[in-house]
Amino acid sequence: MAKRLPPQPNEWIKRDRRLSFVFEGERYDGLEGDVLSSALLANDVVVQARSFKYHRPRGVLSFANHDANVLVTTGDRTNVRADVEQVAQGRSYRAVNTYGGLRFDVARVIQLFARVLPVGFYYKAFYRPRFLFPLWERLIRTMAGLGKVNTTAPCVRVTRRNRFCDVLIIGGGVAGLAAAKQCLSESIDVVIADENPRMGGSFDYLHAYDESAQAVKTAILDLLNSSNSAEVLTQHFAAGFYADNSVPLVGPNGIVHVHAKAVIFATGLYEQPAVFRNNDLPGVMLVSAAQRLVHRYAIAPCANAVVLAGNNEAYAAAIDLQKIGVRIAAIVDLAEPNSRGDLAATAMANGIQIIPNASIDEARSRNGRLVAVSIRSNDGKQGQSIECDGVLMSVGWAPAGGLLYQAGARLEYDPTLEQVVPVSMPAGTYCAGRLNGVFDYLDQIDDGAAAAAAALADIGVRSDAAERPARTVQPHSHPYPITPHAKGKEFVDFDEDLQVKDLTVAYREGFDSVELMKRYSTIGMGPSQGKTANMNGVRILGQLQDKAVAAVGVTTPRPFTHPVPMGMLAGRRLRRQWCTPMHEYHHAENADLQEAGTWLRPMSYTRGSPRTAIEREYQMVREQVGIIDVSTLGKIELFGPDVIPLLEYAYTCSFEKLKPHMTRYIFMVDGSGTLVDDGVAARLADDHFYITATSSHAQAVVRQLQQYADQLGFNVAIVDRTFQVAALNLAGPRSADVLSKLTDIDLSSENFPYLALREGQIAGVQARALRVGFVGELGYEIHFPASHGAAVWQALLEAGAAAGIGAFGVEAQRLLRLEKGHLIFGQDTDGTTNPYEVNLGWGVRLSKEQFVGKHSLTKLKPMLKRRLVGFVTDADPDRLIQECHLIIEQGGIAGRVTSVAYSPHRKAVIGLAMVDSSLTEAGQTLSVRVSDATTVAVTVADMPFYDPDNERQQINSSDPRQAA
Amino acid sequence: MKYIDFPTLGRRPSSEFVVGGIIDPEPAELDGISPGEWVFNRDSIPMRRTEWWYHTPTQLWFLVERHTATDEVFGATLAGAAIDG
Repeated sequence: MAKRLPPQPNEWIKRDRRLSFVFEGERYDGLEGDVLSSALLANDVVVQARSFKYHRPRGVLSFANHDANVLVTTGDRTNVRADVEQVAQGRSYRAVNTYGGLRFDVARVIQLFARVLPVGFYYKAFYRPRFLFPLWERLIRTMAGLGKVNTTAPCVRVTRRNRFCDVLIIGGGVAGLAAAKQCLSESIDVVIADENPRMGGSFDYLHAYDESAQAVKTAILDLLNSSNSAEVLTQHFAAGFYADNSVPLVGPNGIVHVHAKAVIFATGLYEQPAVFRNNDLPGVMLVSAAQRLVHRYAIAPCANAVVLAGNNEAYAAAIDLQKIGVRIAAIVDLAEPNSRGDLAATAMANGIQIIPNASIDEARSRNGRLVAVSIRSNDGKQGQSIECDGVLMSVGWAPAGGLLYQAGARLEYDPTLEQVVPVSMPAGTYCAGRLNGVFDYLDQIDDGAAAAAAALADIGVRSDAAERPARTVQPHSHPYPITPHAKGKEFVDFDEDLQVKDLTVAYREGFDSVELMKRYSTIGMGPSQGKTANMNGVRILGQLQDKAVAAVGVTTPRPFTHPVPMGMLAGRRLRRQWCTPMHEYHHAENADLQEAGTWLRPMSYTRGSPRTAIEREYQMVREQVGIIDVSTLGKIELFGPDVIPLLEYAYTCSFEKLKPHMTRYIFMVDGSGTLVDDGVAARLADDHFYITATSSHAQAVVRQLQQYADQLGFNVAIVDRTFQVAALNLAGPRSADVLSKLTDIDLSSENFPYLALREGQIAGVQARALRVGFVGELGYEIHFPASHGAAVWQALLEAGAAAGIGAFGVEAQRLLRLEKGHLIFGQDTDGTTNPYEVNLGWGVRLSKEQFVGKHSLTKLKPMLKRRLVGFVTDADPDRLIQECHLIIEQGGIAGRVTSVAYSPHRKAVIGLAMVDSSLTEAGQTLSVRVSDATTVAVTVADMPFYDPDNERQQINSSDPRQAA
Repeated sequence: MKYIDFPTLGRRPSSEFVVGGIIDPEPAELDGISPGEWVFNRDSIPMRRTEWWYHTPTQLWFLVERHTATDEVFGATLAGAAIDG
């Protein structure tokens, strides 16, 4: 049985800090510092989880921070690894993936049908009959997956921090600490990270009784802790490796994104399980797992162990475990024990029975607990049965090399070591220690120091590189620690319940490369991402292919190395939000502020329901006067002798005839003739233009214009004035009356005709006024310094009070412009729309010598296949047609609605739709399929819906100043 | 994060940039190729080539010489610098 041991020299638990927690509804005691698995083992709870597919009982396997054998949920967090989760006082845990609890999991019966659930079962079984697929899908989705996400869990925001340093050392074990010591000999900035709560790595569990090693560890840790130039990050794992040595370290309080000049990988190895029948029984675990349990948490994982040996480490561990009182029933050595040097002799001298050249044939259980193993000799003879309550496996290692692959290192299988080792590292990265195939403790120290010396030379603080110790020449892994059994249940991948047979079948069905086998069998695709499965998978595939392991290849591990909670990636969810100079007003007036790109814009000023607010704002503009904040428009000023050539190249229209102080509507397309952006261009002088761009695309237009100028060598200065200039649109029949009270500009239609621009004082501020009519009423778009934004806005509201002025929002503006048939780019156009399709052909001057999109538009002009039309319908406005509803013609899609609203002017629902060319005649009836799958008839109508002759742009009074 | 040395800017993270690719200006005449070919058929052979990179905070375009397979950067120059004088 498992139990807590007397105090161990390096233990991480606090004996005097008892706590209690709940697992699967039962209360247990633990100690501060315990992880869930160790605390459960202290209570002799060896069955801690159920497996993914067959719901077999499972316990600790690797206990190396990636043990996906035991995943639990705390209620708020799920799929938490029990070898990482520190128990907290009063917290309650449940195993994931059970039906009716861990002990009585009803789904365990699935394993009785394992014989009829071959690899690829889902692919083979559930694709027919087709009509049943929705049922199968629901069933599979219920059975698949692990923990359930609690969507009502409190949202905890964590911070992401950037950390720039000279050297980053990943891994605080023997080699990593040696590297850190070397780095501290120079005055450089070092970050060392380890995923464990304490630095030390194998110092703590492989060298626990080696006093000189402990002294080395303590000295380096003291040095690190007293250093001002080193940052020590425990409980931080390196999640991935990205360009130029940037490594996100995921810690309990968020991600520390390290950008280092050099990176030293001292990530060590993943111990690999042996594959034999029932190797997943709780109580069967890796030797290093047992050692970590003993030395970090003072847990004896069992009382009577069989050690399965494929290397020296197994013997060393057996001797160590004996010291703390675990009986070693036998060491079963996969090979000849005299290759193990002195260790075999010591073990024998300590009275341990050694069974050479043999493997475990089968582990057996009674009442769910491991009771014995039976032995099979390598020549196939069935051997004795040995009673035990624990099997400790040490048969081989795989590099913790995920980050290396991501960095671009090349790794190869070394047949001497029987291990994958790095053979080349990209510039600025180094690896050290057992990861590098250096096993001897003193060599590991030298290797870490040498890697650091090379890194220091690389960043220029040291001129000489130290000599690297040679790789170990004795294998520490067994080439084939796999013992297939006629009755199966020899698990290769514990996450996915994959047996040897599954891989064999996959291979026979033609999935004969590592990448194909992985995807078909799902080996390595579970939560531990193959850390304890892939190496054995490769060995099995090599055997099947009759190839050397080196020739089989490996799958590429991609980020992340451990599962990263989504909240860590989200961080504080900081994103830019731009407010206009009039924001305070919008806020105070209870505006419905919505994000439009990066900007916050008032949709409507909600007094009452949004719909009545929009209608009220609409009526105000149509009948009196309103103002809308359009500071979000892109505002670009261009100066220089080549302004006209630049604009002629960037936009489709011609600017030559545009007189000074006049404006025109402009739009640009890309090389394929697709509409990109629109706005207004105002000519201020021959070599001076002021143009606007759409709110969400302004920065892109500045970028594009600058690129064109640079590409063609135009002499133009392009100034992005978007944030310097506030803008508002004063619109409505009484807008001239209101404006005249505040300005010295002569507003008479003789002096200030439609589409003109005038400069002057408005409310005491130097401003530009543009007479443009997006909303279809007499109006002035007024641009002025942003610092005066609120003041000018307020002055207009006050000046217009008698005229009934008020602010209107984006929603009312959308309705107003829709009646006028004006487009909104990005709503009535999309990433495929050309000017001819939206009736903007008049703005394309194909005769210009050169402009962006000329060649495409020349080709597209005669190929018009669809066109934007207006439509009107008497259908009930409450049964609203919505944007993106489809036009259906003869059972097929013939277009879609791009804008739609109830028009108070037409007293009917109006809209715009992009439809096939054959359906564009006025009077044509279109069928719109609405959300409830019924159709609504609409009629193609002439546009605009409102004021087709632009009469509203007339200033009725000859002198508005008098009228005012 | 990738860091690149730029003239006038110094060492900057790639996140501050918009990559504009290798696009050439649209010529007045297409020499015997269709518009579709000019727009869509891009030579994407991995190689060392010059790309347009736009630095968003300063609104400056740079020409960056980069190997598109290895992501190695060989240098950057300010675009349009030639016409400043």
